[in-house]
Amino acid sequence: MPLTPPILEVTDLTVRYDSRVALSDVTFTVAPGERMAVVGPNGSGKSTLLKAIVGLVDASSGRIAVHDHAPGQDRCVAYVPQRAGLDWGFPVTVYDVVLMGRAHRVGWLRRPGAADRAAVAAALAAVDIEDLSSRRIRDLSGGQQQRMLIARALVQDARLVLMDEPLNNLDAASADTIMAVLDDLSANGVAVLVAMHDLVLAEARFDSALLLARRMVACGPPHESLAEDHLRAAYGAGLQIVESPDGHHVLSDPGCCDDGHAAVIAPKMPRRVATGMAPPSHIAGPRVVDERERGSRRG
Amino acid sequence: MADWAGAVATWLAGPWQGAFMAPKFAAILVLAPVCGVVGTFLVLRRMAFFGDALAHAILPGIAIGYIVAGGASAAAMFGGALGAALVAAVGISALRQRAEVAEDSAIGIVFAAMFALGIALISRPAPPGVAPVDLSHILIGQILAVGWGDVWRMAAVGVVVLVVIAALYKELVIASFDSVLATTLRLPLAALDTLLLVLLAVTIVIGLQAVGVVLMVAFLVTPAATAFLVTDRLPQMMALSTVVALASGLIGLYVTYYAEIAASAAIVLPCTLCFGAAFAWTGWKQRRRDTEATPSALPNG
Repeated sequence: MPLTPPILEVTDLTVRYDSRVALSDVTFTVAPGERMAVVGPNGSGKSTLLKAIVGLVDASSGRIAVHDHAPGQDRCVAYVPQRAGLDWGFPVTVYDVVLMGRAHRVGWLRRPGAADRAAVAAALAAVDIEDLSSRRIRDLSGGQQQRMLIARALVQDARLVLMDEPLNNLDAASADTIMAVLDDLSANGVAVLVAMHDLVLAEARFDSALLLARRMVACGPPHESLAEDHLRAAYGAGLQIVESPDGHHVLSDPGCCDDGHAAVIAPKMPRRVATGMAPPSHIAGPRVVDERERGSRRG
Repeated sequence: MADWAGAVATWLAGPWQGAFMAPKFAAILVLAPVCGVVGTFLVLRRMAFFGDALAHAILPGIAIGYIVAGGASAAAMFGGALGAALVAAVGISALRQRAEVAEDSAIGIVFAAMFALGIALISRPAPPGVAPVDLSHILIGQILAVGWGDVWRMAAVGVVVLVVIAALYKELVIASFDSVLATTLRLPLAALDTLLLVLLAVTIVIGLQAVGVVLMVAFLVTPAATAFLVTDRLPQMMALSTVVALASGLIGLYVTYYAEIAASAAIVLPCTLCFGAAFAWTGWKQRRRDTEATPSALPNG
């Protein structure tokens, strides 16, 4: 029984899109400062869960209490969307976008003040992109875009931060920066839910893992919730566990994939290693360097 | 040389002789910033078709204003136009609530229906003692009929539009750029979207007299789309969009004065030329950047 009350309490949550069930029977709590990985195959409801918590989609049944508020009623939640959903051609700079996160603190009819500018500067420094402050957002690489979106979440001074696949297709430096930001958030008592594909990282660097397959398969400490039988239940027949000299590897076809992502191929560390140390980030899951990053490396 | 300069000065001063053209220039001066700023939102939100539809949907409002007032009362037609624009905006958003009706279909259905209603009302025989409405003036505008009274009304409405946008600038930008953030910050997204539609409708209504129903969308979209090509920041885009609209409007008035072409066409075509030039210039810059980048990108051939 935790001494502090949970910041997030989800009870029997079910979300339907029209008649299709996107997510059912999800029950878990998140404590202040807790770092939870939300994992599962593509189409398993990870994004839906985060959107329901922040109030972007309605729960069909069940209850979501953020800090004892209903979803959408509490501004202490920040949400980092998937990069693909934004209009990157919009004529704004990195600074402009991060400052948008302060809008509700600035208030109606007011201009941002010194405190807001300081918060933006601190957030840009935290994700290591101060030098990109005046760059137009269409000229950012994928990793820089992701860092900017995280900076925008940081300036909201949220108590609960939800991130939708922030680690997908990132260069190693950006992934390391984001993991460092997660460390800072946890140290400051901010709870973080991260939707992700990388099971190794989930096991090594997260306090808990929530395994989804359009329903809740398991939730708890990663070494329990990501046990082999749970993974088989979530990833289905596509899952193969291959023994090799350096531990065993979990290979998965996209199980109930319906949104066109690449297959997940995650090298799984032996238990004794995974509990004691973090894996170097260069083995952290599948990585595709996008064209922009290639271009900037050449130049 | 002096003769040449004198000729240009005489040519430029031409329209200013007598009081006739001054309110026309003043109308352009008022409309350019309003269209430049509102057009910027229209372009960034990809609502050009919606803007065109609203301009057409205003026709029955003007006709009803005319009939109710029993003649060409500017105030009655203005009120009617505004009412029709708001009815169209509400109708379109009501239709697209249902998933079976795509947004562009909803826009097409509503604007064509309202335009047809407008034609039906206008084509009726005028009651005795009332002059018939001249449809072509509404369709292609008649800036040469603008007087100082019209200019003051345009200016009053235009100032309200710009003040509202300035006051709610950061919220309107967030709602336009990232509706998800607006929702998570608990900004009243639906109210902000509706407000922008109302501002658009009001802008179209004050612009109609100058450029008419058919070409209104060009005066909103083309300057902003031109500015989008060559600027990196939103405020600069609004400023440049205003400059393009202003320059095109002034050029258009001179062309109208000397060549006796319909003013709306003479205003819109310079806008299009600006866009063409910006399009060509950015394309040329892009190609040059690509050819410069190629050798360094492939250092080993």
